[in-house]
Amino acid sequence: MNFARAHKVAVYLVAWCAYLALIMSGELSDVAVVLSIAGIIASWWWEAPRVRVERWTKVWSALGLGVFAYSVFGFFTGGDLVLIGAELLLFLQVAKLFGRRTSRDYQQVYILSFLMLVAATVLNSEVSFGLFFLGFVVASTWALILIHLRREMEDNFLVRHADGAASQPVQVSRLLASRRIVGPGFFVGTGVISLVVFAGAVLLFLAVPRIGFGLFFSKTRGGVHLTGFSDGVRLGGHGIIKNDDTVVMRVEVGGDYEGREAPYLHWRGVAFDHYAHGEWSRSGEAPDTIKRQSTDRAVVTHHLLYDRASSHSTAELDRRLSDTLRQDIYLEPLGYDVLFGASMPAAFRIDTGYRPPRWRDERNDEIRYPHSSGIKYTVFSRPDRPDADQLRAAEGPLPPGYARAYLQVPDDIGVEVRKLALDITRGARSDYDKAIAVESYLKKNLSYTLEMVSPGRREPLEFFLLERRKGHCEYFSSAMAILLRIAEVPTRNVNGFLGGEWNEYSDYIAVRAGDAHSWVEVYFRGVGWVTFDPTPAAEVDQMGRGGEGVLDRLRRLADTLRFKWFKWVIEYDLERQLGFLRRVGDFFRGGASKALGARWRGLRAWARANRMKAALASAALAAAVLALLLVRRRRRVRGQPAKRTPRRRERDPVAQTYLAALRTLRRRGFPRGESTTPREHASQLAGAGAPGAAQLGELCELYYTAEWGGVPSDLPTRARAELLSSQIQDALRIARKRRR
Amino acid sequence: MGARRFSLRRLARRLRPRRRLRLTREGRLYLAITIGIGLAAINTGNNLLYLLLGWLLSLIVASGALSNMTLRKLAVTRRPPPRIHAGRPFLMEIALENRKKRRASYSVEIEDLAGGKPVDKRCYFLKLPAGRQQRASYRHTFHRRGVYQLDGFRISTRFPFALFAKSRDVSRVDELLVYPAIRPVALPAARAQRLGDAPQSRLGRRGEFFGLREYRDGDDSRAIHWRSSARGARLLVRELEEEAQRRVILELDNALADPTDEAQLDALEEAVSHAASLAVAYLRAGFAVKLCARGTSVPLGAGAAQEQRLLRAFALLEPAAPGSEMAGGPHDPHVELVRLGAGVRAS
Repeated sequence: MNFARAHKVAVYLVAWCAYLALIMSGELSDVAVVLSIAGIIASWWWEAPRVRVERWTKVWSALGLGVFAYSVFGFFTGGDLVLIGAELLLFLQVAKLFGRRTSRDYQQVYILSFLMLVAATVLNSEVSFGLFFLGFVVASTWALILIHLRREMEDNFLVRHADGAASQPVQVSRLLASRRIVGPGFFVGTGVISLVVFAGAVLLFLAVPRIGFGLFFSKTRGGVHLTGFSDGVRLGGHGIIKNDDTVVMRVEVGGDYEGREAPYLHWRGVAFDHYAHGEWSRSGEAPDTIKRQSTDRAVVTHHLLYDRASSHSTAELDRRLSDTLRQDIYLEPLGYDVLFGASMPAAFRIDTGYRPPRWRDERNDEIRYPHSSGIKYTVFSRPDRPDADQLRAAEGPLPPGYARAYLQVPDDIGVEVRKLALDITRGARSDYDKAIAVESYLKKNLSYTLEMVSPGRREPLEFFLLERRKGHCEYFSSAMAILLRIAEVPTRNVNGFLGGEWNEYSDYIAVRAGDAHSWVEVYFRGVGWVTFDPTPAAEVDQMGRGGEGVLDRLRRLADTLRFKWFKWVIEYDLERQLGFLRRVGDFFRGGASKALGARWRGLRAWARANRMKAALASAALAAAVLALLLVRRRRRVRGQPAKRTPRRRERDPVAQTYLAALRTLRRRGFPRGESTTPREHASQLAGAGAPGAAQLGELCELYYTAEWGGVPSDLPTRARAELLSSQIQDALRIARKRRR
Repeated sequence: MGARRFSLRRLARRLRPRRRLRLTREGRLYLAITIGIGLAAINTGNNLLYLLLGWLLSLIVASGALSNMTLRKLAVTRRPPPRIHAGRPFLMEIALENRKKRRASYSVEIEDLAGGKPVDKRCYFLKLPAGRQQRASYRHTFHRRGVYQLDGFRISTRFPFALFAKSRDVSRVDELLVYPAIRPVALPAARAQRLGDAPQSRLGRRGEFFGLREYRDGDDSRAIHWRSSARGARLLVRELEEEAQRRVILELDNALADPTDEAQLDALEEAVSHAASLAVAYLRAGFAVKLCARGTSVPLGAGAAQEQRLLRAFALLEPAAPGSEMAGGPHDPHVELVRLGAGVRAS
């Protein structure tokens, strides 16, 4: 590849990487994306000598003014400044690519690419940014070196000095056409260096202290568009609910809840106390979430006090978390400020950074924490339902306000429904028995469907219980909550997620939007709230733990990558940084040999278990080492790097004519010495009065221009070269005859 | 004590930075961008900006390592032209050799150092493959004759990203002798011709036998009179009639009343240049030329070797005090005498 082509390819690679990192955010308008893709592709061929680029300068200036005016208009009509800036950058990049001529233009293309990458850091926090960033780093190393070399060429090779003669300009085009300056070795070598640079960047990324003052801006990340979960329940719609496998949160959980066969957890999010006209909401009468906050450095722990045990000290509360299930949750930005946790959560631990938390109005034991980007937090829960006997024995007065909030039944619930509730719970002696009776009635007598039918003017719950007798989870949970309330049992409706896909590659549960679910919490006096799920279990699990097919595994692998990306890059914070540095410190303090020993033992155990695979892997390793040794030995024997077969260079026709003339001259006794340049040879022959020397001198100059001038010869030049060649042959023939 | 001094010198040499580093314009911009990205990362807590910051910082480290690699194992030599004349541009050839086994060096600049400072021109090498030598030259003009000392070279590079200009100095001392400027001059008419004497006959190969004289460098070996030489135990050559007449003494008065006066110095330079031009013209016309000046003289001689001797003497000629004696002894009255001095063209 000649220098000019290598330079162009490297700069275009940089431009593409930055461009793709930006547009993969999905935030830019479709028109801007389509036009810019078309522009960048077309600009590849738009260059001299095919196009006289300078003629189009005015057109681009006029277009630029138009786009700038449009951007200003967009800004004053409420457009997002970052998006407007990013689209303006796209235009400038396309314009610059169309107008590139010198190294300065390429340099500007590079700077615009860098700015696009900076814009992408704000707009695109997906793994795609990481991939294109890696591409940008590699291509950048090439591009920066080539831009520098081209600039040096343009600055240094404009003048050639000659002794005793005036200095002459040298065409840079000759150098740009050279294939000797950069070859495959250059690209491989600098490519390896750029990978080292990338590794250095990652190390520095991990080591630079995370302070995160956020004086003027706070971290933001685009939200996930949910089709399942919502911060409210409205019954009575129609259509089909689609399953959406977009991952909304990832949970690292230990104990009995690891693995594909582990029981499902209810990921509790929002809870509602007030039902009217098919809609659940939080009323002003709903009790506030009772919690006690404790702060350790920048980490706030919320202890949920279902038992209103305000007398407990924080230390005592912390001690009581020892028997709970710990979950580390990485929540995607959902557009809601609610935090999820396995039912029933006992405490939430959140790293609030140095900014004081702005707590929101929280009711019904919800925990809300405003976060414009994704968030990582820890939840401590008691997922197991208390013992049935304990629940049956629960008695005592309701806490103040509970009866008003959690026993509310709207007036439009008809007599038939009320009669049904009493029929179902007839014979039940405790609240627990009533809850079990209603739950099993709904599970056995009604069926699950995602196809929603409009109830028309009927009350949606009545329509579900008495007429259609089919519905999705929100119908089931609403029905159970209202039926129990009719039977004087305090309940609330809860929205969240159920289960999730088990990811075997990184041992976490990926909860998807399609796992959105609704269930009921029943209050037991002296015990607290307990989860009941009346939706038929076999049918609610539409998405399950995830398939076992190749595509499913690949999808989970991709999700692992995404999880790692968010965990180690996007949500990398001071806590994680300190943990990382501590681990590095332990490694160097002597843990290294222990860790390596454990790895080695693990490897041996694996080899014993998989003898065939181990044999294959050992053979491949041995073959690779042998090949490496052979290559090294070959190089040592030759004393130089292994040579490749040189590719035959395509020569200009004038050069071919010159070489043919040279062959004739050699046959006639006028050979060119190995260390003699063509010009020296011509002047030697002229000095010796050799036949055809004058023609050879002229042919030699044509040869220089064709072979090294960087411009292919035209037809008249070729004709002239052939004429000169034939004249040289005639002169040699005549001289030979005369000698005879 | 000597050993201590020696070790101190070694210590000083070790402490001296082996490489010089200078920020380029692009480098300043790059640093400003890096600081800006760093501030934005701290302010927003956006980890992708931290990643970008890590890359920018890492690139600086890579730049330092690569430029070091480029400057390693490079050997430079210079080859001046055989003659350098004041006021006339010349090409100094610089040869750069890459003694590394595998890696090529890119974008290397060589500057000649005189008095610890670079001369105004530099040689640029775009790519120097491993184990190869390349040559480049720079054009330079010395405006005054004399001896110039070149101390060494500055090898510098802005490779790979043009963010920093890194350089190291290597010592290689060479002395350059700059001859006076030579201009085309017309030879003054010979005294014999001016007096109206008949021209000497031009018989034989170069003229009739005139006498014997001592052999001088540049004399034709065929003119050696072997018999007389054997007798006198020194080489004697036959002097022919024509040659006897084609001898000239250049007497250059290099005395200056005030050697610090620029005008007088310029006038002396002008006289030296004129004398040198005359000497060259005489020698090329076949004359034997002798130079007499205050403090220095060159005995009579002809040919290319004499030209070299004379030019060297002219190059090294210093201004003398007005009272100092003219070297070269009494002049042969048969020999043409040309007198020159500051403000004097010929007499």
